[in-house]
Amino acid sequence: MNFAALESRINAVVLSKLGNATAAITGAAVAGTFDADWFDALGAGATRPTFVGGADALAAVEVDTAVTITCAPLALADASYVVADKRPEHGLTRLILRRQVA
Amino acid sequence: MTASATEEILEIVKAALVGAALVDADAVYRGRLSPAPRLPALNLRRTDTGNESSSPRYDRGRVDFALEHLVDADPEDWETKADALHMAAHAALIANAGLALIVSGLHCTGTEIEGELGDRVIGRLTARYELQILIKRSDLTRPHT
Repeated sequence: MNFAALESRINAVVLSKLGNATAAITGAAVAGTFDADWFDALGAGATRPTFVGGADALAAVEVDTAVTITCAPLALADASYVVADKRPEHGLTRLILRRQVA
Repeated sequence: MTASATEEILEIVKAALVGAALVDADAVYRGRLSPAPRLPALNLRRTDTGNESSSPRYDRGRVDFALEHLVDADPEDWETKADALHMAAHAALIANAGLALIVSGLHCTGTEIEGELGDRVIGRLTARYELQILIKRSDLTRPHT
């Protein structure tokens, strides 16, 4: 088995065992890992939300695409975000998310 | 213990901002150092004071304060949103009759603006203000009207 195939298998196992969220994006439901570290931004609480999923599943996603995240461990249901940036990470893709403010 | 005239002035400033209802009443803070739980918010912070001799019994006191305008916004309009909140707060302070009774020369001496990007942009426009009060040397607790 070559390295790419091994990486792909490991990523699939990691996402299936450690994934905590589903992203509804471009008409598909993608399983992955959502996180939103809290930080103090100039005197207000803010987070840095990210979603990590398989590179193939997220290949068509572009910046400014709308994403809806459901993440039961973080009590999120259909939370709306948009993709602010997209980073490849060894067979996975990390989406940097932001909220739209009314 | 009795508060100083400076504290009294700042409480009047805070009351003027609450009364103007520019943000939720419980989002107008005094000297808050921990993150504001909701935005938009205003944070009034005491800065410097100084006294100059005005007469044998009275000093002309200078009170400086900073007013932080905290907003959350999309990346394209956070500066505009913070600026609009500042303009509304400034108008409320200038128009406040209670403040006008005991202070003179209230004016904005400058602003600084910062933004930080997370799940949305947090913007903070800090406006520096200066005003004068007349104060009896024997009693620092009350501005002279």
